[in-house]
Amino acid sequence: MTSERLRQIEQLYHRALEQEADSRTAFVAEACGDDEELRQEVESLLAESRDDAFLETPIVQAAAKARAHNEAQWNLAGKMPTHYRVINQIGAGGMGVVYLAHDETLGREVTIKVLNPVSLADRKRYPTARLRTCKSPCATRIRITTWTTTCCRP
Amino acid sequence: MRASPTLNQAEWCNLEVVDDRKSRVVELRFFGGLSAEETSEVLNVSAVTVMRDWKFAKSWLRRELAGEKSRDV
Repeated sequence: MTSERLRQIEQLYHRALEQEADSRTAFVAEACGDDEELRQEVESLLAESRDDAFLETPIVQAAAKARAHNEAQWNLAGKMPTHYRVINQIGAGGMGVVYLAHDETLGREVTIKVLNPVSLADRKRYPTARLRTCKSPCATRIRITTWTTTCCRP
Repeated sequence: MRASPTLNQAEWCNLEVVDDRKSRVVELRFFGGLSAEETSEVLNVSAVTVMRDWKFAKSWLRRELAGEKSRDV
């Protein structure tokens, strides 16, 4: 497409939007005359001209919102999934969040890893040795492992 | 929550080839998070022009995305 042609399409697109919605089709048809290609171009663009949320949230904000939503939903601090008392969050990364917790049954410290939804695709590759799955409604996204002294203390 | 739209390379290049300034407007606003006024300062055009470019570019991209979707089916 030449830039001249694009200008023609764009001008007619904006002029059509200035018309009342129900007279746009007739307006475009008249302005295009027998240039059917121009009419189709403008009509197909007008069909997508509604004002809504499309692209209106900058991608960084959308990503931050998704992350905040995720964190709010999966923040375990102070909560008690089954017999684990969550002490605090000790780490977070691309895979998810890691909490330090106390296993009230066994009387020892454990780490609880809450995986991000996206990480579930990699679940099969996630090292499962020495890991036990917590029996909670969110079991598929939670991994419990024994807290060892070799881990960095908060 | 509404899923964020994704722009693939083909749609992006298409707009870039067709109109460099419009692709810059989308880049600055959608990827950079700039307001219309800030975008107009960077591109040295009026805010009205930015909004016209923005409106047209969105229609253009949405048409490309819709076309791609129907081709996938």
